[in-house]
Amino acid sequence: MKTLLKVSSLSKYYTVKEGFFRKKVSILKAVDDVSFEIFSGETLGLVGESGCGKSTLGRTVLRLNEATSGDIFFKGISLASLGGGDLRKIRRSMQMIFQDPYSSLNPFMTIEETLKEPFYVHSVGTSSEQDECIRFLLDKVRMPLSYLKRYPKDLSGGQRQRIAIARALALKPDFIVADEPVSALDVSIQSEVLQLLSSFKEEFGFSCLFISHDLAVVEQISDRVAVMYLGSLVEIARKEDLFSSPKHPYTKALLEAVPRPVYDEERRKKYFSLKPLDEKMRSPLGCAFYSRCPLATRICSEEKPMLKGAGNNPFNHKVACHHVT
Amino acid sequence: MEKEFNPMAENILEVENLEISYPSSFSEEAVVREIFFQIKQGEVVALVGESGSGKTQVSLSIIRLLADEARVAGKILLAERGDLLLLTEKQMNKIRGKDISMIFQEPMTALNPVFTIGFQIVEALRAHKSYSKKEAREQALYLLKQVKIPNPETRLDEYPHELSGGMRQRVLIAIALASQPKLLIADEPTTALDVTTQAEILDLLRELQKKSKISILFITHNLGVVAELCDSVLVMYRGKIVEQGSVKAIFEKPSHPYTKLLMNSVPRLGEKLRVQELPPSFQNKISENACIFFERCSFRDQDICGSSEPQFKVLSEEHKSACFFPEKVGEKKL
Repeated sequence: MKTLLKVSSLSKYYTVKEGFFRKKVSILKAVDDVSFEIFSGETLGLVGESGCGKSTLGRTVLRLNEATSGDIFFKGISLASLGGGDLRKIRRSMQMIFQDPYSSLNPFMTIEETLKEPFYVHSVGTSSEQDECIRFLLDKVRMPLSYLKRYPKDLSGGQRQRIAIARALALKPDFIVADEPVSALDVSIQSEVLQLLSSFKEEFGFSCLFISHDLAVVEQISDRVAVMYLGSLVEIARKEDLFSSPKHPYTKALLEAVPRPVYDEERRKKYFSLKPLDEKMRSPLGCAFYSRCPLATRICSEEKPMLKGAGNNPFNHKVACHHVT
Repeated sequence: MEKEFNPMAENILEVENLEISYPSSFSEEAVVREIFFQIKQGEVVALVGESGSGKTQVSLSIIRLLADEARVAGKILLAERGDLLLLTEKQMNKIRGKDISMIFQEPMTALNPVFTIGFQIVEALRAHKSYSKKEAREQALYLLKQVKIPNPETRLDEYPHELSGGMRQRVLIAIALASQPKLLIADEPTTALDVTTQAEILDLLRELQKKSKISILFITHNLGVVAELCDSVLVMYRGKIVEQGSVKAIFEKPSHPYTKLLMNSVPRLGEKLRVQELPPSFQNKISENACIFFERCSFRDQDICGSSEPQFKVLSEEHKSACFFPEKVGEKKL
C-alpha cells in the first residue's frame, strides 16, 4: 500500500504561565513525539480520553497549529517547510470536518454560499460548473435542493453535519481529518452520518484520520486504530487485532470500561481495575501511564517506552510498553 | 384496610399518577402523564428515554425543583414524610439534601467556582445538623475518603478548577451523601465523563449503594450503564412510561417496540451497526387517540393501534409493557 501521509516525531508543546504575576512557566506536552503513517484510501481511527491531545494532533497534522518539532510528509512533500502559496495549494487536497456543526458553519451564509466557498477560495471551475458540483454534493448527502437558499439555523444537527461533510468533499480531497464528527449528535442520527461517511470513503477513495473518544464508533469506521494517552501513542494496530487482542494495559482498560448493553451477572459484580489518575504521581521521564498501570515497575518510571512491534503481527501491531512483547 | 398494614413498609418512594403540565394560552397538554412507579429501599432504578421524553421533569418533580409555572398533579409519597406535593417550601427544604439528594450531569457547573471544596462540603453538612468547625472539617475529610479522592487533606483547600471532571463528580457525590439521604437522584451523572472515568464513578456508586443501602433513581440514556448498575428499569417515551421491569427482563426480552428500537440503535463493540427497520410512513392523519409510538412502530396494527392508546399488559411479576402486542414484540430477536 502507498503511504499518503507520514508523521514523524511530531510534537506540540504549549507553555503554561501560572502563579503570582504568571511568572511560573511550565510546559504542557499536548503532543509528544508522535509518529505514524496513513496509507491511501485508509481510515485511521484515533481514540483517547478528553485532554489526551488527539484534537491537537489532528490540527497539527494539517498545520492549523504550528508544530513545535517534527515533520509531516504529505505525498512525500514536507509540510513543515512550506509557506504561504505552496501551503495554500496543498491544502486543497486536505480538509477537515469539525465536531460541532453548530459553530463550524457560518450563520450568515446560506448553504449554497457555504458550499461554494471552497471553490471560490481555490478558484476552481466556472460558475456553472460550481453549481453543478454543489447540486451533486447535496444529492450525495441526501439533502433536497430546496435547502440551498436556507441558513444553518433552519437545519438540525444531523443536517448541518451533512453539509459540513459536503463542504469538506467539495474539492475531492485526498485526506480528511474528521474531529469527533458524530459526538454532538443523537445515537440514531450518529449511525446515519457514519454510514454516509463510510460510503463516501468507498466512492471517493480519500484517506481519513478519524478522531473520536467512542470506541464503538471508531470500530465501525476505521481500518486501523491508534490509541493515544496523554500526548503519546500507546498502541497502533489493525482494527481486528486491536479489538480482539489489545496489548497495552491502557487499551485493555479502555475496552473493559465501555459498558455493554447486555444483562450480564458477571459484569454487574465486577469492579473496574484502573486506579484514578493522580497528577502528583506523574514522572516527567517515564511512561505517561505509570501512575495508573497495573503492570508498572521501576523501569516504567525512569524510561519512556517507544512504539515497537508486538504479538503475531509485529509489522502492523505496535505497542509502547516495557512489559509487552 | 387493617391497621398494621403499611404499604410503605419497604418502598422508599411511591409515585402515583403523576402529571406535569405547563399551562399556557395555547395548550393544556401535559408534558408528563400517568406515571406510576415505586422505589424500594436499596434499589437502583433506571429512568431511560431520549432527550425531551420527560425524564428530568419527573426527577425534578420529586425533589420539587420544577419551575413555578409547572402544574403538578398526583401523589409523590416518600417514606415517613407523606406526600411531598402537599408540603410547604419550608418543610421541603428540610427534606432536600437530607432525605433526598441530587447529583447533576455537569460536574463543571454544579460546583461554585469561588469557594473551596471543603467549604462547599461543610456547607452541605451544616445545613441539616450543627457541627463545630473542627467536626465539620473532619466529617468532610471522611466523606472525601469515602468517594476515594487521592490526597483528601490537600483537596479540601483546593478550588473546583483545580480538579478534573471525574474528581468534581466525586466531590458532588460526597456533598449529596453528606446527610445520609434515603434517596439519591442522579441525573445523567456520567454522561459528560470519559469511559474510564465513567467506569470509576459507576464503581463508586455501586460500592456506596451496597454499603449504605441508599436507593438511587438513575436517569440516563446509556443502556450500557443501565445493564451494569441498575436493578429495574423505567422506559419513557413522550412523557409516558411505556415499559417497566427488572433489568434482566428488559434486556432479555424487551417487549415494547420503543425499547427494542433503543436497544438496536446502540453501537456495540464487536458488532456491525444494525440497519434500522423503518416502518412504512403513514399517509393518513394519525388519530389523536392513537398509541404515542404509532408513527415509528414497525409492529403496528392500523386499526387497533391507530384508534386507542394501549394500557399496561403484565408480562411477568415485574414486567409490564404499554403495547397491544407485547408478546409479538418480545419474541422477535434483536
